[in-house]
Amino acid sequence: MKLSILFILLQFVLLQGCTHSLHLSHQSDFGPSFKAYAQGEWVKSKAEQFVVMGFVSDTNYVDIAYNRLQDECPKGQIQGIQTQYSTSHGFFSWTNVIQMQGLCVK
Amino acid sequence: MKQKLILSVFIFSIFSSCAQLHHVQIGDIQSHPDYVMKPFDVKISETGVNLQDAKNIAQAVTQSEETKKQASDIAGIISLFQMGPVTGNPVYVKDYAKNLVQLIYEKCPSGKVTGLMSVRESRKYPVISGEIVKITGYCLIPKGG
Amino acid sequence: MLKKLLLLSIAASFFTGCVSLNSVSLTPIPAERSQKVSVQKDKLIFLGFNFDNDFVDSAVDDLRRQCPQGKVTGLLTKDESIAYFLFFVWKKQLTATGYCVKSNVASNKQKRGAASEDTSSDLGAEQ
Repeated sequence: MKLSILFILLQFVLLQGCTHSLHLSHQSDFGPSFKAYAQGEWVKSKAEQFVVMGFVSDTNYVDIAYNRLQDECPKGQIQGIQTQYSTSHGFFSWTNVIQMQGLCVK
Repeated sequence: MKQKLILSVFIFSIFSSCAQLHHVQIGDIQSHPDYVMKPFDVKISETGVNLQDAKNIAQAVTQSEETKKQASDIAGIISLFQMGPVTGNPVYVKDYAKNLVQLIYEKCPSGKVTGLMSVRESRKYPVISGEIVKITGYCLIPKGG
Repeated sequence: MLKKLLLLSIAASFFTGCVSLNSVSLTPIPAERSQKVSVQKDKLIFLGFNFDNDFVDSAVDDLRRQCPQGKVTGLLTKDESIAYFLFFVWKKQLTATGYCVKSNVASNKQKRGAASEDTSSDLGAEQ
């Protein structure tokens, strides 16, 4: 009986939290500019794609994140870009997320 | 004697981990005669949970058929709320690797970083795992500076 | 009516592809973004039978051809899998998009007519 209560409690604890999975984190080069953190401006971009049961026909959200990052630094070069691809899990659905951040050097 | 051996194998399997490589990528390697290359590495890890393992262990420790069924039902219900592609085990913290670049700048404040290798790996233990992002590289330091 | 709807949904599921992203990477983005370069390579795989991934090998040469005198950077590379016909047919697809910038190495070569080392970055300039 005690064990069943423990299981129910565990169920509530685990249901409360949403899970995520980081598929990859890629770090680009710092060259050719090789600037220190203080010599640039930190820029970020993010794009998401909501997926229901895997039915999705494109990965345009990746290009959206790429274009948004460039819009954040229109006249400079961006070094040390970190690209993260992750998924936030949900009920019969999930959200794919691309996050990019780097140092904009003008 | 046999019991002790089984027990030690069981304990060993609990405390040792299995490493799983998911993704690795290497960038440009640039050397310069006026600089020395100082190696560095930064690592960020988060705890992942394997629901299937948790269910199996819960079923193994109980004798009651009713509890075994309950464990299976609960794992089934939870998994409906955790649908989607996974790499390693799911974690409960979003964006845990977002400060990785700042860690690189802490190791190499000049930003003269080269030979970067990005590794995404898992260290698997029973039920839990370490979901790891590791970056290794070289900081270019001026000779005699 | 219901039968037609069912048939239509089955046909739709048969002919539309479900895409999944396998990996993505991005190299440093240049300030000069006037000349865009891109390449797409794909391969159809039936019933999971795939014996090589050579279709990606020519991608680098294709990009190089689009930027013979310069350096390709700001390269966004996507590796995708697209499932068709209820997962009987897969398409593996590689897409790379970036910018061609006139590199100092290329211009140095043109100026001096001799090969030179790539010390053209800010590393050398700060010395």
